[in-house]
Amino acid sequence: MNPVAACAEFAATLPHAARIASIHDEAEDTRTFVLRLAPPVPALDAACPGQFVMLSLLGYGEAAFTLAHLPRAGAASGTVTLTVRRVGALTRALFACEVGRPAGVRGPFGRGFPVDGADRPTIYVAGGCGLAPLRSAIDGQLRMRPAGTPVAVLYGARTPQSRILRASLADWRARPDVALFETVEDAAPGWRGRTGVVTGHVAEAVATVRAERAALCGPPGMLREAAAALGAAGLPPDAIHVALERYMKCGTGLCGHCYVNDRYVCRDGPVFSYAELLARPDAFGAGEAPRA
Amino acid sequence: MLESRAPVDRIRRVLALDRRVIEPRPVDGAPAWVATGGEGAFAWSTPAPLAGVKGWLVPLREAVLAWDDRGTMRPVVPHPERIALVGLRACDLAAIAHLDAHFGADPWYRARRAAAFLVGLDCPQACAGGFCLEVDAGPFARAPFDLNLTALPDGRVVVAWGTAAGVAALHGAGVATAPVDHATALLLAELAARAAASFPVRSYVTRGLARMNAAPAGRAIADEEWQALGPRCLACTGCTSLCPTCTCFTVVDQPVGAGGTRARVWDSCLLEGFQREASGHHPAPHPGDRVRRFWYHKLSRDFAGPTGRLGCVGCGRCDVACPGTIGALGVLAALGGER
Repeated sequence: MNPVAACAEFAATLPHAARIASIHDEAEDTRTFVLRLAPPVPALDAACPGQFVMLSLLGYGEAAFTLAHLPRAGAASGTVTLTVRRVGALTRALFACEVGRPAGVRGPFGRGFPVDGADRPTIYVAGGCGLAPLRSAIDGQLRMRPAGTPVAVLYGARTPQSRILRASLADWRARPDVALFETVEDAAPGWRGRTGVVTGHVAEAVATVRAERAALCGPPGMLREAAAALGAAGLPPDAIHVALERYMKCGTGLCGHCYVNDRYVCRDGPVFSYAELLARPDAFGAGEAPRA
Repeated sequence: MLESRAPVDRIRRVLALDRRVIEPRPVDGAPAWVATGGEGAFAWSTPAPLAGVKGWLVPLREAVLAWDDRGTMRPVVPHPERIALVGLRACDLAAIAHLDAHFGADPWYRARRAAAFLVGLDCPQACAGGFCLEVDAGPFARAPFDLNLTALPDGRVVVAWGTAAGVAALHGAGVATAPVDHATALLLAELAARAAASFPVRSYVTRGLARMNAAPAGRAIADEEWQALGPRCLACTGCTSLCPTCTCFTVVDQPVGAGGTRARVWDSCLLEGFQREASGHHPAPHPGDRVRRFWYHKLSRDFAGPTGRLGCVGCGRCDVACPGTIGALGVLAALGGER
């Protein structure tokens, strides 16, 4: 092997050096971190909705996060936006970081949501933190769609306080050309929106915009029920796109952690069509096979 | 073809001039891979060691990144020792073909693989617990070897070369090979047939593999069967450690002072935490779920790589390692209705 070429090959695996540029509280235990890369990385600037990066904190390791905002949806070049819930060792360390702290970013990885089809009536279904990966898909379609293309956003959260991306929610709520359905499981006094899980509102949201396709992100139980409800509402399985999550260590199809039957979520996903998931009984976990 | 076994020892000594020659030798009564320096005669009849050669190509711990006190990151570029693994059985070569396909684009693997010279040795008969024949991985070797040896009963050796490096090694040792004549070709075919006939009839292996590969993939076998096998797995990871095709790893950061190292370390999909997510969601919460996935990965055609062969090479090491009874043959016996 040519030694110079070999060194370049190893260097290409390094995380891109980044610094935390801003931190924004979204909800209890959820924050949005904007990282700045200098100089910008063209591949990250060109990332698609639904693709993910491996965020690196030296000493704590790496973890996979889906990009929550993208230059193609209006974010600044050279920025990486991640909306993160504090649930594990790395995210605890991240929440202890202040602006200016160095970090590393590898990616983008995986197959995101389809970037074509902005002219088709679409429903986005998100649960909890799952709204973050969908945000750039939603904003992307709103930027690119022919005027009048109907878009519905169905967002379910545990409580009104646990809702994230409230600025985006307020923006979509204010737009007459976006049908926003918000629901919470535990309503607080004064909550005027819907209640219950998202599944109960799928049929109405689909009918409102005559949705022809759907994009989903959220916890596995919600994905399973919502995808089945979308199917029952008449959407064909290949028009329902589901973002899966799995524990990952490499992001490149080598470490083996993120398997779903014969697929790796990092390499073959994380976005799969529901038609693909119907053929893979472990899509939402063992014993939780997708329902036709 | 070589007229005697002596030239093989010359090849080993020449390989040892610029490589560490590692070969099976008996150590305290059990075969092990030993750095011999090519000294002495090749131990033709030493059985395949229980520990394979995976660790030379995919180390138990591989540092991939280091950082200093200013947080500057650099890749850890390996400088693997040049080695010659002499006496690789067909199963181990089939496993290396599997590793080549899996890690083919990985620079760490490529560096170690490029530093390894592979000499195969055909098995004249089935080994105890080996079922390479049933999974199309032996007992006679196929690529990827640099050289491959078939010992003939009359003392001659058929040597095959698979790479330019193999040809160069023959030339470097001054070994002249005669073409295989018609009679020897017939003898080779007879030896291959005799080797194949030496395998015990295990119809449950065929039945188990057929059930595993009935469409749709893996679902001809009821979940209850896997859940019944689950408690028999102690999650000791003996099988995944010894399996020559197991490739899963985790990544750990090890701070040292103000700097540190990030390393890949062998992992096992049979461990409870392998897929457990920080949120608490667990896609494979029961031992039976993990046992199912492990054997699906080994025995299903869904994971046949470019070689078209299964992830299991029939070496039988997992059956030896398992403190219970769910090595490959144990599982195939259960799936094939033998017990």
